[in-house]
Amino acid sequence: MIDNFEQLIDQYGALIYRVSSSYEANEHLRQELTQEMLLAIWQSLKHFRAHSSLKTYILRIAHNKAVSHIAYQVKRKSASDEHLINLAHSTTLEEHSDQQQQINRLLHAIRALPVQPRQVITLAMEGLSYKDIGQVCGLDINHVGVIIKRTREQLAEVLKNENR
Amino acid sequence: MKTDNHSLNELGNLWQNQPVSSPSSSQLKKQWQMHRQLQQLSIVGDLLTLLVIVSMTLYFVPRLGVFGKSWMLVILLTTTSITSYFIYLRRKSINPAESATSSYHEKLIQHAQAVIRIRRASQYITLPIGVLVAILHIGITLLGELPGAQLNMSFMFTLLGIVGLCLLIYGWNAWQIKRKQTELETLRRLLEEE
Repeated sequence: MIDNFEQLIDQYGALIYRVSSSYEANEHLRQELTQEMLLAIWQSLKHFRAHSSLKTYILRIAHNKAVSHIAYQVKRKSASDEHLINLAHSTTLEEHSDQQQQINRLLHAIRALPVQPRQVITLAMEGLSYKDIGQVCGLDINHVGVIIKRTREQLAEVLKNENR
Repeated sequence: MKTDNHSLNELGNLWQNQPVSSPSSSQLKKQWQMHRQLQQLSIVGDLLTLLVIVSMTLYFVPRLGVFGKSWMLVILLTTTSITSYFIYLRRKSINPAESATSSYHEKLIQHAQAVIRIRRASQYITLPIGVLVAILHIGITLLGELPGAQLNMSFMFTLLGIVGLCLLIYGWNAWQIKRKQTELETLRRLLEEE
């Protein structure tokens, strides 16, 4: 079990940061979102009843918090996200290694997905089973499979096209 | 059943190799303390609102006659119940740990709809409350229930102030409703697209 902030960050900091990178292209907002998610997780840890694994529970909170973040961004109407996404994309592509470029393309393509397929595919890429993904998203296993297949093909296609 | 597809593994490797940077624990502790303080402040704020209403009543009631007392009671009951209802709605926030993501999306939309309903209720309740306060003001002046209260320029200014304030709150709520509706539409579009 997690008893302090250090443990929470050590064990789940990287995972949460990856979730926030699927919602935010802007580094400053991404850090802000990561903190919001970690605080929400910290606040909810005392209610964890082991009906699912702790990782599944944490990912559910993180994704829900991210959606609240989207709602808040709608309210803030902050500096155009599209602009920030494009900016982050174009500046990083030229400067990094091949693998980094691939990662940036993947992140860009993921952020362009609708919210539900985005959540399902990122959970799958974190190695969660269909059952766990179903628990996090409130979907049945077959539906999860369909979404993963469709989204994976979509992402593979985007990466293939951009490699040409 | 594991998601053991080769292409998905490749995507997963890319995904997990992205550079990450976590916040420091001291940063997080600071945020947490701030969050707790804000929560405490909002509770104090809510209690103060109710305290102001009750203190005003306690101050004015002994100085008023029958008309003033009964009208003050009507206003007190109306405003206290409305304020308590709003406090209750504001405190009933959505918990990200309780729902699966798909039902959380629905709850978020319902929450946005509830906010619009609260704004609309505040908008429509402003005018009757304004009328109640204006009647109280006119009543205690005409009946001479409050010592020193006379029909003069300051009476007119106070009355105009009440009407102006009500119209201001009405207009502000109308503007908020329009804004919230646009936000709700955008949120719905973002969350409901497949």
